[in-house]
Formats: sequence, structure tokens, C-alpha cells
Amino acid sequence: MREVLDKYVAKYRPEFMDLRVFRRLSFSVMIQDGKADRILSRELWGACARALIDGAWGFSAINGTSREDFERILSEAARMAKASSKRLTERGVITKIEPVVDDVELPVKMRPEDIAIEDKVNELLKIEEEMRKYDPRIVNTVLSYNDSIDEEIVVNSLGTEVRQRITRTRIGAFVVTREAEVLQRASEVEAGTQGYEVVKRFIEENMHLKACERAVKLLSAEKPPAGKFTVVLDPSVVGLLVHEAFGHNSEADHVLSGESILSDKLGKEVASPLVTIIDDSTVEGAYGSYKYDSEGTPGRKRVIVENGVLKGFLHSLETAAKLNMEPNGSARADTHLWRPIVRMSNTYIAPGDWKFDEMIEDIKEGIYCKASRWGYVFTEKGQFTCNVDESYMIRNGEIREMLRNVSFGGLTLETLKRVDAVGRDFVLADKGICGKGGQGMFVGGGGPHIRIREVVVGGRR
Amino acid sequence: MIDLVELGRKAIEAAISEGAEQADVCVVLARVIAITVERGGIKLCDTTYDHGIGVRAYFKGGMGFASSQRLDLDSAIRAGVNAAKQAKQAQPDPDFVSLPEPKKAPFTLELCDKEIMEMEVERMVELTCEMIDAAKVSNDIIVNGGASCSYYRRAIINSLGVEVESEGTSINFSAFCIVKKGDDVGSYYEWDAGRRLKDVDPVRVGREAGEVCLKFLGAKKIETKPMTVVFNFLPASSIVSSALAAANAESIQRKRSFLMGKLGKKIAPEILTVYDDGTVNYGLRSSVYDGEGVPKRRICVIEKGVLKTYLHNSYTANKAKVENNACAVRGYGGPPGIGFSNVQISLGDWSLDEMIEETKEGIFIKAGWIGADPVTGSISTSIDFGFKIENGEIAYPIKGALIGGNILEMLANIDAISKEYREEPGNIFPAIRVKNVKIAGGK
Repeated sequence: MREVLDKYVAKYRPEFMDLRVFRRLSFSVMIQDGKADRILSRELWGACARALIDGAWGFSAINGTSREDFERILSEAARMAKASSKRLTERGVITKIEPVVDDVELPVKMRPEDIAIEDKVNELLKIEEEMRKYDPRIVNTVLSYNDSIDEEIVVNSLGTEVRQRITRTRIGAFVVTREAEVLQRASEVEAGTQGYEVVKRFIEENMHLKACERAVKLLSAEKPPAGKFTVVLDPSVVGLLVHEAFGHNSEADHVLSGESILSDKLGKEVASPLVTIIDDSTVEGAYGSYKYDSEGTPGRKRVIVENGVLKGFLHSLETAAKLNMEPNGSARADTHLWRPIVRMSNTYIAPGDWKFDEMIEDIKEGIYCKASRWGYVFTEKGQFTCNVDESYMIRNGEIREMLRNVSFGGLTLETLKRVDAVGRDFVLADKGICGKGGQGMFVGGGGPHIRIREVVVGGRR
Repeated sequence: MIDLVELGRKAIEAAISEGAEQADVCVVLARVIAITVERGGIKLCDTTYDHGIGVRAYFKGGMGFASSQRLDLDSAIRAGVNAAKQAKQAQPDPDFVSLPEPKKAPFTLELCDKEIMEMEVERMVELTCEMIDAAKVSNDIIVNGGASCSYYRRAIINSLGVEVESEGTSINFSAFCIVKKGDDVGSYYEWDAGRRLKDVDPVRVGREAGEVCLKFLGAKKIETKPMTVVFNFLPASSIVSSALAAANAESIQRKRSFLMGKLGKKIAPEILTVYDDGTVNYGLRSSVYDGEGVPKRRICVIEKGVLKTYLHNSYTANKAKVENNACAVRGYGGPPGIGFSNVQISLGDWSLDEMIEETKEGIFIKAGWIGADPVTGSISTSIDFGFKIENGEIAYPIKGALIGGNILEMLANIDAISKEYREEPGNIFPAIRVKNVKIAGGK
């Protein structure tokens, strides 16, 4: 790769050029209603190149890794950069970091490829059976298992040559319950940059049965009320909130494109003084972890907000150069078919000193939100939405009736300033795929329990 | 040029010799040119060559699937062998009957535009710049967005003799405009998509996004109460699309859809009729054959408010012992799923202006996706691009509000459909008005 890259660097004399090879081998089993009737394996394998020439960017990708393929995409990337130069409003730049040469693999305890398909299937069948037998009101059960091994090689004109291997394992249980005309659903997921130990933990903690229990309880849950409430969020919902409401706004590409409400807020108060927000790609085993990003820059722990004050952004080599800040290894790409863009890794609120009981004891009427489901944000307005699986009314300091399908939303800065209690517990409970600009990416999130005043809850009564 | 059908045959031969009872293959070859726009300039041009092969094999109804992004003979054979091995490791499924037999479609379709097949990146840049210039209706508007065009060839082959090959083109432009006055932010997006260059209008896309983002300045919070909601074309299409997604026969058979047990029943007022039509020339989601090689058709899903059919592939149709209505959707990276193609919603006799004029107090949702949970039908999401309607007039943009309800309640409460509509090639999306929707505000 180095030799071909050097040839094209000599030919085009770019400010920057890189060549990246990506390969993913993945394996999945799906068990539905008692049968492991779908077994899948996939191979993604190809290369991409970027060129920055006279301040203009070009990118090209191909599902191939021969020398001919490399030559094709390097010259295409240069041609694309020339096309970009026709309407350049701002020159592209890149931070010239110290080159990195490394070959790493994130640690794995039980390699999924060492476990026979038959053994995986038998173990999964057993717990799926427990799900079906949990309650007669369960009408559909899906247990999905997936493991993948990614290998990414990044070679660039700064001298970086990084090879990284990451194994990921994920297991998810999905349950549908029915009683008369009411249908409800619940799910539980365990996932990490780990091996088959993820499945062992899922089973040990009976997470599949937690999904069943919730789906059954939701059948008799109340419709949520609509209006403004004090809300208490569990660590998984805190992970979702901090990711959607704040994290996306701290991605420096949004800051540069005018799509962030934080562009002029560095050093200013953007949240309650109780709030410290961290994005950390170095948490061992977490779903959003990695050692190097897709530009070959080392990932690290990044403090975004400290005691309510905005301290920094997440960067690629380019955004760091444009904002004159230090790169922090946040540029990741979804396979070789996409260019690296600024992404979160594992994003969380740091713990405070409140006990859970203290948080709820003086709430007259509020809502306790547990188990995150989905969320999204329009960063330019800072308007976010979070949806949760399981919620409860809080009345006079006590957790009362269960509520189904609660969404809450609002304006980021307003909402984070209303955080008035941060718990002393801590779990990285949220594991998922985040979508941005058409690319999916593995992320994690969490924190302690927190309490927020005056949050708009979308209800049905 | 690679012979996709021949490659597919080899993969099937490999799967059958490895012991599979039946097998099918999808082979895709695509070229995409894409442009990213940031702050009114071209941020990046890119070109990607994406191709791959996906083989599905059956053994006693158990399914194995293997895919590769290589289109050489070795990779095709390996995918066939792996799919067959995995099918034998999967558990038998007695509900599997057979893959489809070959059947020639009684029609042909135009899906390719020579101008797009021969498109150069420089021409795409010119068109994108026209969009950017049109969006700059005021100097302080930030224009982001992009454009892309693609050409693909696809072959579907199965062990019963299905061999179909197709090619198509597509092009799209999108603009996302932002205007800031201090902490006050207005934003809006617009797009256009088609299979032919002449079906898209980058200038209109830019102008619309630029003009409307200004109207979202000065957004206010509103009170919490039930109100009438006028869903503009795209939000209306998102609600109807949620219903079509829930009509997926696999979800019905697996008992995880709110449309379970609703076949032949009234789920909306008489004014609502919905077609899924994959047979429109140059339609965005048209194809002569579905993802399993079965001829597409025009399907009436909701007729005068009554749910007429579910959407099937060969597996679900055989299991339900009904005719397969060819809704298998497929790429090379996974086994076929079920999905709808072009959505055509019946037009009403109201003008959009009349729908707003006759609303004393309500919300006009101009854009954004308002979707339902596919299992429960529950809707609970933010209104990201909405206006307050007061005394029959658009009063001001709103912020921080959520909409809540259930799709079956909302469908039942539709009281008006517009005669104007948004036409995306093959699709017809009118506006829809719904009474008595719960709105949560932050005031």
C-alpha cells in the first residue's frame, strides 16, 4: 500500500493523501419463535482513498484490494479533488500530526470464531425457549446474535501506517406481548468490543427475561400524560440524552458547517454546573471503543463539558486544523465505502453525589424514564427527541404506575441547564448504532441517574 | 463487462452441489458519484464502485445466507458453498414451501436515463452549484446538502430457473438551509429524486429550502392540548408509509404488527385509498421483478379505508396460501425482506389552503418524519418543522412541541385530503388533516 500511495503522492503532490483497506467478516444467527432457521455470514472487503489537492477534497472507494484497484481509486480521488475545486468556499486543511506506526488488536477473552456454530445455536435456543415459556401472553420472540471481526489498515502521506483489528459481539432479545387488542414490545441488548463473553454475561444477568418481564408489564401500563414534568432518567436514557442532545452538537464538523448550537460557546456555560460530559474511546470492551480512528489518529478520553462549561469538541484531522485545536481521534468511517467523519465513541455524564432516593423524594409529580429506545436531533436548532421503553409516574416522592411509550424532547441548552441532581451511580448502559450522514457507527453511552426540571413529555392523555 | 447472470449460475451450482435443496442469488454492480455541500461550497466529490453477490440456500426449509463484495468466480463459488453449509446447520422450517418458479412479466419498464449513465462529476458539480445559488435567497443563509447519481445492474437467479437482469439510474439533490439571528435559528430542507435528469430540479430544491428556512425564524412554544393537525405532503406520506410497513406479511405472521387481524376491516375513512405500485415507468422504486424475480404489480393496499391485503414475498405467501404480490426487496448484502415500492395516496377535494382556513386552532406540520412504532402503532415524536394555525391562518413557527397518539386513531380521525400533491416519480403524496391530536407544548 505504501509503495502505491507514494507513487501517487509523487504524481499529484497533494497536501494530503491516504489509502485505507477495510475488511469485515461477520456471522449472525436469528432465532424466531423457537427456530434457528436463519444463519448468515457476510464479507465486506475493499479500499478507499482520499486526496486533498489545492485545498479541495476528493474521495473514491472500491470493493477490491488489488494493486490495480488502489491505483484506480487514488487517481479517481485526485480527479474528484479537481472537480471539488470548481466551487471552493473554504480551503480544506489537515493537521500534520506525528506519524503513527502500529499494529494492534483490541483484547478478546472468548474468540467467537473459536466456538462452533452448533454450540452457539444450542446455547441461544435454550434461552429463547425460556423467553417463550415466560408468559402465555408472549406472542413473538426474536433472539439475534451477531459477531464480527473488523480489520482496518490506514496508510497516509504523513507517514502513518496503522493496522487495527476489532472483534465485536452483540446479542439482542426482542419480545412482543398481546392481550386483547393491546400489543406491546420490549428489547434488551448486550454488546461490546469483546468476544463471546458478551453472550455469557447476557445469560448470567437474565437479560432475555428482563425483556420478557417488561413486555408483559407494559400490557397493563397507562398511556403517558402530555405536558411539562420533572423527569428522572436512568443511565441508559442518560446515555441516549447526552448522545442526542449534546454529543452531536459537539462534533466539530457540525460546528464548522453551521449546524451546531455550540459554535460560539467554547469556554461558556452550556449546562448546569453539576454536568460534566465525557467522550471516551479507550473504555476497555465498550461498544464504541477503538485504539485508532479511521485516519490512524489515536483515540482518547475527551472532556467536552466540565462542571457546565464547554471545554472542547470532537475532531478529525481537518476540523482540528480549521479550529486550531488538537486532533483527538474522532474520525470514523462505516466500512471502506464511506469517508471518515467526526463521531462519538462512548459518551457519558460523569457521576455526582446524589442518591437515587434523594432524587425522587421531593418530586410531587414527575416521570421516571428507564430503558432507552431511540432518539434523534436537529443540531442547528438544538432540538432533540428521546424515546424510552419503560417509564413510571412519580407521585409525592414515590414511584407509582408504569407508563408505556414515553417520548420527551426539548431544546438542548435549556434542558441541560435544568439538570438539578446527578447521581453517584454509573453504568455505560446504552449500546447502539448511531446514524449520521448515511453512515452507521457503533457507539456507547451512559452515566448515573440524573434529574431534570420542566421537560416536555409527549403523551396521549 | 462482467456477466452477472453467469456468475450467479456458478454460485447456485456450488450451493446445490454442496447439498442445498434450493438456492437463489442477487448480484449487484453499481457506480455512484456523490457531492457534499458545506457552507455554500463543494466540500467533497466522491465516486464509489460498489458490487457484491449474496447467495441464499435452503435445506429442509432452514436458510443459510452468505455474501461477498468480490465478483470473481472463486468468491461466488465460496458464497454458494457457505450458504449451503449454513442452511444445513440451520433448523428445518416446515413453513418453507419453495422459491418462486420462473414467470415472465407481462410488461417492460423504462428505468434508465442515458444522461445519468454517462454523467461526469463536473456536470454534477455544475448542477449542484445551481442549487446552491438558488438557495441563497438571502446572504446570511448557510447552504449545506448534497447530490448524487448512480447507475446499477442487478441480476436475480434461482435454482428453479428464474434468471432476470435489470439496470437503472437514479439522481437526487438535497439542500439543508440554516439562518441565524443571534440565538434564533431557522432551518429547512428540501430534496428531489428521480431516475432521469429531467425529473429533478436542483434550482427548485435550493430556492424552496432557502425561502422556507427564513419562515422558521422566531419560533414560539405552545400550550399542551388536543388540536387539529394538517400534515403536509411528506409528513402525511410518513404516516401512510408507517401503515404500509406494518402490512408486512412476515410481521403479521410473526404476530408483531398492529395491523394483525385487520384484513378486510376498516382502518381509515372512505376518503383514503392507497396503492403500492412498482410498475410505473421511471418510478423511483419501480422494478419489473421483485427481489426474488417475481413480476411486480400494482397493489391496492387500502381501498376506501378498508385494508385489502398484506405485502408478501414467496415465503409468506406460501405460508398463508395466498397469491404472492411480489414485495420482496433485496440487495446483495442480506436475504430478501418485504417492503413497499411507490406509494400512491388517493387525492381529496380540498385545497391545502382550505384545510388550513377551516382550522380554528391547530398545527401545520410542514416537513419531518412522523412515524409509528411498527409493533404497537404508537406515535410519539417531536414536531421539528411545524407552524401554529390560529383562526384559519398560519400564525408562527413552533418549537419544543411533541405529537402523541396511535396511528390507528390518527387514521380513523382523518377528515380531509388535499387535491394538491407532491409528485416524486411514481409516488403521489397529498396533504392530510387529522382531528383531535394530542400535542405537548413547552409553554
